[in-house]
Amino acid sequence: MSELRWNPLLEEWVITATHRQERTFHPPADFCPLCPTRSGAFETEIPEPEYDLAVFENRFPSLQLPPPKAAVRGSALLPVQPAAGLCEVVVYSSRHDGTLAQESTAQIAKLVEVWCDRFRELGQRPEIKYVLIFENKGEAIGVTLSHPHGQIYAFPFIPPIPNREIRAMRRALRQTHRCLLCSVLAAERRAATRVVYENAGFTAVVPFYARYPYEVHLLARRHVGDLLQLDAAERRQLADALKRVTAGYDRLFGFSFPYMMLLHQQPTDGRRHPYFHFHIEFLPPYRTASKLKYLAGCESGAGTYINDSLAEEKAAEMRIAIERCIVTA
Amino acid sequence: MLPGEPIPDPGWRGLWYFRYASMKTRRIRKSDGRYLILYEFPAPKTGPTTDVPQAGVAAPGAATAKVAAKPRPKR
Repeated sequence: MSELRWNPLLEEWVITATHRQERTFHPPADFCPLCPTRSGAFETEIPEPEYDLAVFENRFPSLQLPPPKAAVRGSALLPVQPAAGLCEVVVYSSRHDGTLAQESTAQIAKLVEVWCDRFRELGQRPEIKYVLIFENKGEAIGVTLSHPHGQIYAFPFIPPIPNREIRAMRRALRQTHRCLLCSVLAAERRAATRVVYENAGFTAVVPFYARYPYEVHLLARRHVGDLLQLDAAERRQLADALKRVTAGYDRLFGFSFPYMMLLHQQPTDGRRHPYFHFHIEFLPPYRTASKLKYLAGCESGAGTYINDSLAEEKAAEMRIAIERCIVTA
Repeated sequence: MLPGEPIPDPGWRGLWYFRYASMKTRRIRKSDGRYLILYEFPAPKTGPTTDVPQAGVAAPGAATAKVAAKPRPKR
């Protein structure tokens, strides 16, 4: 059973997906469903002896096409909609032990190409209004499979956070005739104190308004709305920046650093969103080497984050960590 | 984009981009009906690779100019 239930107080959809309770939970390495299928062994999600990168429909999807029957009927006050959409798993490599940070820049460049392909194909579907590419990394985030992978959710609506960004960027363009994020990027580069890495295509910053101590935003230097508007050189530069930031995270405290990585792209609802500026957000839950930041009362109840650190200081730590990384092509 | 510079209207470009030339895909329908896509790439070339910062100049004929008017497909 799965459906969308409308929350009239927050004016947002909630996805119910009861079948996800059954999903695979920390299987032993010998039974990893994302590994290649070995001769004589059980058949994994990928029935091939070897692969480079793979994408498949999630076995426990929150959104499906066609959508399943809803468990309840809605009303004018409490509407229910079908949970129509698609959920995919993107497997970064056939190697079980690894992380995005441990992949070569060349392998990450392949991943960027796969993201482009999936964004294009899913975004073309008339049912799909927004494509969210993301990665949850580490048990602290709730990851249930350790094999390096990310996910894609193709939504039948524009989710609240991208929607707020869209409204802000659209308003800024009307009022100032400038792209909001281009202005932020220019200000961050002028200040330089929060910039942690930069190449010709992307600038990585702990943003002025960071909610998490080690939050990093990867901003496209050129005004583009999505991955597909990047040229080939920029896509390679994106891979380089992803490698540097993720390797820097691991270098920070000497352990594989958990995070949520979220690609913020323009919607695929068929409308024009020329004000939207493509960026990637990293939200890591650690605030020190041994302490997690929880989304507690103020964050969950008020929607207001308390960041008990200074972005400028955390950016300095990240900058040093990135500089100390040895990056392989 | 520089402050004050007009924002280009990229329009909908979901259909078009300059794809990694040699990327190949193989689609498999699994026994339970779900799809699996295997991505295959050519062996890497030798020489300078991705993390060398390159000028942020679009490759000749890059996606930016060609597809602004491309309508969203109807299925």
